[in-house]
Amino acid sequence: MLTDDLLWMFYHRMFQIRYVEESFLKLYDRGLIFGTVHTCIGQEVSAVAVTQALDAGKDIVWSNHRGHGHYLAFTGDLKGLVSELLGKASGVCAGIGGSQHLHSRNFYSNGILGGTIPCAVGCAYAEKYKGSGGIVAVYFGDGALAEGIVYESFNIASLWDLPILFVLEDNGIAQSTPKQYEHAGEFAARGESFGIQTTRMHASDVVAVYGASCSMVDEIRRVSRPQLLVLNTHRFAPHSKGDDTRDPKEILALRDHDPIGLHREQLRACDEERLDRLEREVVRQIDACVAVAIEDDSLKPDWFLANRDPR
Amino acid sequence: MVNANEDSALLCAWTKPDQSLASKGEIIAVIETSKATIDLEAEDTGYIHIFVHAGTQVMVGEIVGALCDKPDEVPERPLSKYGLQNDRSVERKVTKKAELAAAKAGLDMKRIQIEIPGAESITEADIIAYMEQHGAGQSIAEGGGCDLVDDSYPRNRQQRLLIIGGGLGAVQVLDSLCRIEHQRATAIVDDTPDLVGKTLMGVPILGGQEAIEVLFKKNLFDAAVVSVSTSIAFRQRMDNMLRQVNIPMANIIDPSARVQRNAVLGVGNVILAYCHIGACTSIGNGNFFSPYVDVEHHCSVGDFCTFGPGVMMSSLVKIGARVKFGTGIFIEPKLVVGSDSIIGSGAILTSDIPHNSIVKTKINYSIRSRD
Amino acid sequence: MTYLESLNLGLRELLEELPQVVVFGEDLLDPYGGAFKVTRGLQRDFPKQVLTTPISEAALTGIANGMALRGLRPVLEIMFSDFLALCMDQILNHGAKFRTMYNNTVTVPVTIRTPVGGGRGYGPTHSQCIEKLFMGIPEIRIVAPSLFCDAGQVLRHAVLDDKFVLFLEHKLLYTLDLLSAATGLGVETVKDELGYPAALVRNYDSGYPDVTLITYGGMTRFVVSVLQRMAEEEIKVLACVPTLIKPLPFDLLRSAADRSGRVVVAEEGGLHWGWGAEIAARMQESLFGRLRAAVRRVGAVDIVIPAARTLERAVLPADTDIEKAILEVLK
Repeated sequence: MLTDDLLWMFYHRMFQIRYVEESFLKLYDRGLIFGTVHTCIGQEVSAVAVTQALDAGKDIVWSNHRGHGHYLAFTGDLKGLVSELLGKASGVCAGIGGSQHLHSRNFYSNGILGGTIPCAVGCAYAEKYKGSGGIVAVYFGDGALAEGIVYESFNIASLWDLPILFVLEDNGIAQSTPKQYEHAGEFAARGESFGIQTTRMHASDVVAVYGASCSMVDEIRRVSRPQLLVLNTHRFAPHSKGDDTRDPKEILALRDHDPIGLHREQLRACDEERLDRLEREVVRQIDACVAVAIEDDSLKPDWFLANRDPR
Repeated sequence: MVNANEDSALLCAWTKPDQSLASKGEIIAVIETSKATIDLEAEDTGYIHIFVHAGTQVMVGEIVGALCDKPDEVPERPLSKYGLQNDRSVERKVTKKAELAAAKAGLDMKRIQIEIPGAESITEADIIAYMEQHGAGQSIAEGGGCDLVDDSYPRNRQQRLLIIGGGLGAVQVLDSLCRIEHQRATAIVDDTPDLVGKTLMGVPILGGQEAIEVLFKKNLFDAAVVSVSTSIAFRQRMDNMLRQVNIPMANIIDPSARVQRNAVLGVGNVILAYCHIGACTSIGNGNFFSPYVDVEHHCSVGDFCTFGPGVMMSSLVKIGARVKFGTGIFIEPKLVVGSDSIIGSGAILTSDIPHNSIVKTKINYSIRSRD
Repeated sequence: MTYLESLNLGLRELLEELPQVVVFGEDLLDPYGGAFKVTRGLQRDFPKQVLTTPISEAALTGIANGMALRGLRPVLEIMFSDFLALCMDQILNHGAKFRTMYNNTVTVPVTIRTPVGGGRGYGPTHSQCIEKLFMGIPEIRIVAPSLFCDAGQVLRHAVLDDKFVLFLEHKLLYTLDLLSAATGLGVETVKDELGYPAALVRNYDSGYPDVTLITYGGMTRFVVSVLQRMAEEEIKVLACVPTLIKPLPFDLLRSAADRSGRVVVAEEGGLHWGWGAEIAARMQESLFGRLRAAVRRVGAVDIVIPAARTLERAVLPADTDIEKAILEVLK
C-alpha cells in the first residue's frame, strides 16, 4: 500500500482514538462515567502503528489500564468500548470489567501494573505450542518497569524462545512520578540484558513506526524470539482525571509536537476537503454511538448475579 | 474365716451400699469359696468404705473394706494382714461413653467402680442398668431426657412442666393441663419418700426437692409450677429456690378461666376453672386461685396469695402479698387487704384490712341431728 | 498404591490422553523428577509437555493464566505451598477474575499443584497450610485429596475442571498407602455436587453417630486410629472427608452433621479464621436448634511452626487433639 493511503488510514484511526478519549473526558465531567478513565491522548501513534502490523485473526494484544486506544485500534469495536465505559449491557464486557478490564476476540487487558506481562508470555507459549503462527504484542508503560514480574517474564520469554513483542510506551511519567524518581539505569539495557533484541524510536511518525513494527513482527513470527520496542511518546492528558502534576506550560509544549497535529498538517496539504469529511464522519459516528449508549438502561443486577456461578 | 485349703475367695456382693451405716454384727458382704458361701459381718458399728468391688477374686488376708466414723471418710488403704500390697486398684477401664453417662446422672465414678459387678470394662449399658436399678423410677435413656421429637423443636414443642408437690393441688393442676394444648406435665417432685417412683395421672414422681435441679439439667422440663396450695411459705420458698438456680416458672391457666384485656400476670400462678381475671388487673407471682375466683377489673394482687373457691372481689381492690383467703368471701370496691393476712371463710369485707391481720367471721348456724 | 504413585499415574494418564495438558514447575528435569518426586519419569517420557522452569513463581502463575486463556490446560507445580504467597496477585487479580470480568467469554482452567503441611521439621516457611488465605477468593476451587480416595483421579478431575484449581498434596501422605478399608471401619465413597469424591467413614454398624468429624487433607491420616480408639470408648463417630474443600460441599457436610448433632472440624492450618470457622458459621445458620453442642474446631496454634521436633509437635494438631474435641462436644 502506498504511504499516502496508509497515512489516511492511520490518521483515521488515530483521530478516532483522540476524539473518543476526549469524549470520555467530557462524559466524565458530565457525570456519565462511573469510575475513572486513563486516556492515551498523545500516544495514538503507538496504538495504531503496532496493531496495524499484526494479524487480528491470529495475533494477540495485551494491554493495561491505559488501553482504550489499543483496544480500538486492534478490534475496531467502537460501540463495545463506549458502552463498556458508560456501564451498559451492550458494553464489550457488559459493564462488568469497565475501562481497565477489556476482552474481545484476541484482545485482553487488566488493571494490575505489570501483571499482564506474564499472561502475555503464557499466551505466546500457547500459540507456539499449538503451532498457530500467532504472536503476542503486550503494551506497558515505563511505570511497569519497576515491577519485578516484568523481569521474570523477560527472562522466561527469552529462555523459551517465545514469539512476543514487548511494547514499552515510555512517556516519561508514572502517574504523578517522573521517570528520574522511578528508574535507575537504561530501559533498553533491560531487554538486552536478557538477550532480547531491542529497538528505540520516537512515536511521532506513524508510518515510520508502522514500518519498524512490521519488520519486528515478521522477524518474531519467523524465528520465534521475543523483541522489545521502546517508544518515546507523550501523554497530554492527566494520568486519570484531574491528577496532572506537570507544569501546564510543559504540557502545552508537548502539544506543539502532537503527532496527530503534525500528520493533520501533512494531510491538509494533501486534500483538505477529504480531511474535513473524514474528521466530521468520525465525530458524527462517535457522537451517535455515545448518544445511543447513554439511552440504554437494560443492564440489570439480577442478570449479573444469576448468570455467575462463583463456586 | 476362709477354710484352710484356700488362699482366695470371690467377694460376691456387698449387701449394704458404700458409705452406709452398718451396726456391729450386721451382714455387709457375701463371700464365696469353692465350698461355701459366707456372710461377712461388720466387726463394729461404722460407715462402710469399700476398697474392693463386688465380683473380685480376693486373696486371703486382703483388706476389702473399712468401717469409718463418718460416711464420707476416705481411709488410707492399709497393707493386708500378711503384708500383701493390694495394688489391685478398684480402677477398671471405663469407656468414655460410660463416664459421660455417669457424669450426666451425677454418679460418683468411685462408687460405680465398686458397685457395678464384673471384671470387664464398664460400658454405657452398665451405667444405664445401674441407674435403672438405683436411680429414678423412670429409665433415663442415653443422653438423659432426650426426646426424639421434642429435642429437635425447642421452639415449637409443648412447654414441658415440672409440678412441685404431688398432692391434691397437683391433681387439680394436672386436670387443667388435660385441656391445655400448649403445656404438659413431664415430671412431679414431692418430698414424701413413699411417692417417689409412683405416678400421678400418668406423670411420674421422680424425687424430692433435691431432684429439681438434676431433672432440669437433664432437660426433662422447661419450667416449674408449685401445685401446693396449703402453705404460702412453701410457695415462696420454692419460688426463691427456683430463681436462684435459674429455673423458669410457668403459669397454669385453665381454659375455662377468662383473662380479660390488659391483665398483667407474673409467673408461677395457678388459675383454675372459671376464674375471672378482669380487664386492667395486675397479678404478681406464685398465686393459687381455686375455681370461681373473681378478680374484678382494675384490681391488683401481690405475690404468693392463696384463694379458696368463690372469693369475689369488686373493682379497684388491692391485695398485698402472702394473703390467705378461705372460701366464699366478698370484697367491696376500692378496699386494700394488707400483706401476710388471713381472711376467714364467709367474710364480707367492707373496710380496709391492715397488714398481718386475721379476719374471722362469726357465722350463726346451728347443727342438730336429723333424727 | 501410595498417594504419590497415584498422583504420578494420574498425571501420566492426562499427559498421554490430552496434548493440551502441560506440566511445569521447578526442578522437574528427570532423573531428579521434582522436589517430592511426584512427576518423576514424566519429563523424560513427555519432554514436550513437561517443562522445568526458572524460579519465578509469580511469572509462572501468570504464564499459566495466559496458557489457559489460549486453550491449554496448564498444571503448575509450586514446590512448597508456602511459596503460594508469591503467586497471590496472579491468582487473585488475574486467574480468578478473567472469566467473570470478561463476562463469561473465557475460561481459565489452571491447576496449581503444591505440597502442604508440616511434620517434617522443615521449619516456619516450609511447613505451612495456608490454604485458608485463598478460601475467600471467589471463582477458584481448592481441592485436597485424602487417603480415602484415588488421589490421581481427583487430580484428573481437577485438571479437567474448567475453573482455576488449587490442588493441595500433604507431604506426609505421599508415602502412605491409599485406604479403601480399615479394621472395624466402614468406608463409603460418594460424589459431591461438583463431582469430586468424598469419603464417609464409620466406626459403627447401625444407628446414629454420636459425633460427626469433618476433616480433609493431611489430617485424614488420623481418621482411622481416632475412630478405632473412639470405638473402644463406645463413641460412635461418622467421619466426613471431602476432597473439594472450597467451595464447601455443604449439603454433604450438613447431612453428616445432622445425623449426630455434634460436630468437630479438624484442619492442620491455624485454628482461627479458617475452614472450620466457615463450616461452624454455616452449621449454625442451617442447623441451629438441631445442634446439640457448639461446633468444635481443631487446628494448629496460631504461631510460627518451629523446626525442632518437640516444638513442632506442640504446635501442629494431632490425633489427641481430635479425640479431645470429640469428648468436648459430648459433654
